[in-house]
Amino acid sequence: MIQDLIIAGFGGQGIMSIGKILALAGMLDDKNVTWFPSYGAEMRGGTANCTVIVSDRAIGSPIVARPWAAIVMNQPSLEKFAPLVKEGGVLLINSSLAGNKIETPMNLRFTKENENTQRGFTDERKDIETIRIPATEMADKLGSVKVANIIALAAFCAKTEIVSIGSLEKAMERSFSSKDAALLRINRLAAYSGREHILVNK
Amino acid sequence: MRPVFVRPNALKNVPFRFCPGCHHGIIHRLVAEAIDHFGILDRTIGIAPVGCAVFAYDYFSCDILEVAHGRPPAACTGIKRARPDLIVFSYQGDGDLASIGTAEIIHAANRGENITVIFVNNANYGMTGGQMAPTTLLGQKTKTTPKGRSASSDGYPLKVCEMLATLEGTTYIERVAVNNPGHTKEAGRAIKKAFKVQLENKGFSLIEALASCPTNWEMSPAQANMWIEEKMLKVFPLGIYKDTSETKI
Amino acid sequence: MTNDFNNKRLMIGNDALCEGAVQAGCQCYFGYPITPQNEVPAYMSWRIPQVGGIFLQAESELAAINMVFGAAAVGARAMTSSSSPGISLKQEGISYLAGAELPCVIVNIMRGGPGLGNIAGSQGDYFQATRGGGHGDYRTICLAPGSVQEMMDLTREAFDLADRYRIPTLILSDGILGQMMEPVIFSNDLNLFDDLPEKDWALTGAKGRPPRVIKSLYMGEGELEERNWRLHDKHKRIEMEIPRCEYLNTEDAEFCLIAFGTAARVARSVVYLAEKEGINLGLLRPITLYPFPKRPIKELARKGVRFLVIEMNLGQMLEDCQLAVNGVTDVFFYGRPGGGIFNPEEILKVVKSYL
Ligand SMILES: Cc1ncc(C[n+]2csc(CCOP(=O)(O)OP(=O)(O)O)c2C)c(N)n1
Ligand code: SF4
Repeated sequence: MIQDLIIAGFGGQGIMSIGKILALAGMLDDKNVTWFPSYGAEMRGGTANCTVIVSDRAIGSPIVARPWAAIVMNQPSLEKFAPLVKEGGVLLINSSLAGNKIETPMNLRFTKENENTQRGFTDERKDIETIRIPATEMADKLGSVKVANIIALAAFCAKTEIVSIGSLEKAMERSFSSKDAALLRINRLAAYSGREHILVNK
Repeated sequence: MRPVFVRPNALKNVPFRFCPGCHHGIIHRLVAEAIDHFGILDRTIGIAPVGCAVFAYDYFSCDILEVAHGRPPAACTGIKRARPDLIVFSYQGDGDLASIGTAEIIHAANRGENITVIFVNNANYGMTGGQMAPTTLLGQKTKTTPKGRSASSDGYPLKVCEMLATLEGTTYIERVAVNNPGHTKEAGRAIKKAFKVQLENKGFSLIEALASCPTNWEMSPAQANMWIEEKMLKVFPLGIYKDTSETKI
Repeated sequence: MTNDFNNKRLMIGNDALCEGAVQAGCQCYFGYPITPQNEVPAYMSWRIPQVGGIFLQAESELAAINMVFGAAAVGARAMTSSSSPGISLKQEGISYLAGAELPCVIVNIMRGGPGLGNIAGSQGDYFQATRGGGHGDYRTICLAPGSVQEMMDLTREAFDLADRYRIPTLILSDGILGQMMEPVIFSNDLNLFDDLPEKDWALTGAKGRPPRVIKSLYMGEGELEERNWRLHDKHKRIEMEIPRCEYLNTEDAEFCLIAFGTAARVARSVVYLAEKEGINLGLLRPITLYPFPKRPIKELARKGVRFLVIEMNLGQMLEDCQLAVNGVTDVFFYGRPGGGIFNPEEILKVVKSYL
């Protein structure tokens, strides 16, 4: 089986890190993995994305035009990548910043782009499975909007079982190992609440 | 009503895409004002270097030639020798001018080429993500000096104005900054002077502008301005290092 | 992220190649920033001092390659890296290194060209890398990694090959392989040559022996010609001894893709797609670009296999493939220049149009 996905959002949302964590978890599961970032001048525009592939077989192209899944953390990414997900695929939307007519909490209205989030995600696709999770709000409640990425990743993994829970946890620990305990704790909480969100709504 | 602040003619009507707080935008504007001041837009050729200023070709409304890394002074020489009636300026970063292009700048200066060089010293390589430049301060951390620049392995901050002022070929050399309104005003005057020297066929002029790179310095724009004031000015004092424009005929 | 797990680490290609150099005992690294290889000098700036090596950011690529020239002349294992425009600048030095028969490793993480081009991964420097590149009648070994693991392993091996043949050895990779992460296995059983020749030519100080000279100038009557014949013999030996390629599904295939590096990764996906559709499609991936694995291609051609060469350029390795096939069967081409990259579906369509 080859599972390929694109993770996308603003620079600073930790897009690259969750991609690496996922790839690392896949590696710990003894799968073949690749992680490929958008790099260089592309990043000056403030958006970031990476492609992660987890596979039983040796991986071919590290870049995919039509991924099996996408995790989109903001509206521009939703608009760009939702149409590319293959039929029967999975789309996880951070509904705090994309695709919902929800009120963005005052403290999150820091960029112009956020205004777009009020526009909504109109042409919803029926041929893929869409998961909405208010990751940024959930993260805010945990005490740091920065862990929205971990919430989204954990939810995605709970839904798709792309990697094992154990490996995901180990991968997270290794990625934060050098940093402080409080950070690790809040990230653990984030992973837990992301997972729970899926399991509760199953 | 008389407008007090308008876009110079020498700049296209497009917004700069430099990082917030980057001084490239201010320095572009000062160069454009000088071109407007002398009314030479239609006979000026600018050089877009390799570096963050490569996009000069998107911003200036004069003709622009994009040149290989470090080679602008040689390209300027070619242009000016072929067409002495044109006004030529090169706009180069510290990686471009003071590292890979050291030979070219020294020899253009030494030949006294009648060109104007705008040298933007932001103490690192901006475009490639913040590596050490020859102008990086001692102790300054960059991508390739993770423990800070050390004199024993990387040498000392290269003082371009001081060095070029010793060459007999040069006419006007000044170092400026644009980190506050006072300095910016002075910088504008200096850049005009540098163009005037060329217009009067008096030879080689170079203005070094100390500039911020908040992105790679990992500072806010305000902090970056302070850092220039407190750290860079000590190593790179402002002032006129050479002016023989009055004695040259 | 550096995570040890059963000797496996998830790394980007540019970092992995540094580890390959460290494993080979590289003593000196000289470089200059350029995207998309900036990770190499950044990594080397802390990594090589850890193992007692020298890191120096040169003032230019010209300087960097000449620093390599100096270090190699005194017998040190030396490396430099850059991307396309910087490699062009190094060509003068590479020509001198080849002329003086100095071993060293030069890494090219290719980007789009010509000129300043762009920073996307590309394969536009194939001609430059496999034809010598600089002036004069010479060749350089050229290895093309196809994975992050190979970025490490081939870089390590490149030092051995360079020493074995006293020849500059190139790693020809691109921005995609440089920036992507994959698991890399750090084996304890490094496959190093143990029969490398003594560097009895190195300039170590004429103490107790006659002075040595390393040079590329041969002004005497017939001197240079003789020397070039010697280089030629060496090249022939290299062409006999080290061509290498990887095969995938070539046993029963009547149609075969030929691709190297990143393009070969896409080609692998094409082979998977073809499998699903029941199409017999093979892949031959040259690992050494000079010497080019002519014989395996020739053998397939003799069996009547037809080929589609795919490259991230407008047809450079194509010419080597055509020379190998020599008109025996068809060689088709599909490529995209300037940092464009094809997707597997796109190529499968092309394949089908020839079946
Ligand atoms: C021959 C060559 N080597 C390296 C590069 C990569 N490169 C692009 S910009 C740059 C340096 C930019 O630094 P600087 O001149 O200080 O300008 P800044 O971006 O800071 O304005 C380098 C090394 C290149 N384009 N060509
Ligand atoms: S990287 Fe530095 S020099 Fe380049 S635009 Fe940004 S702030 Fe300016």
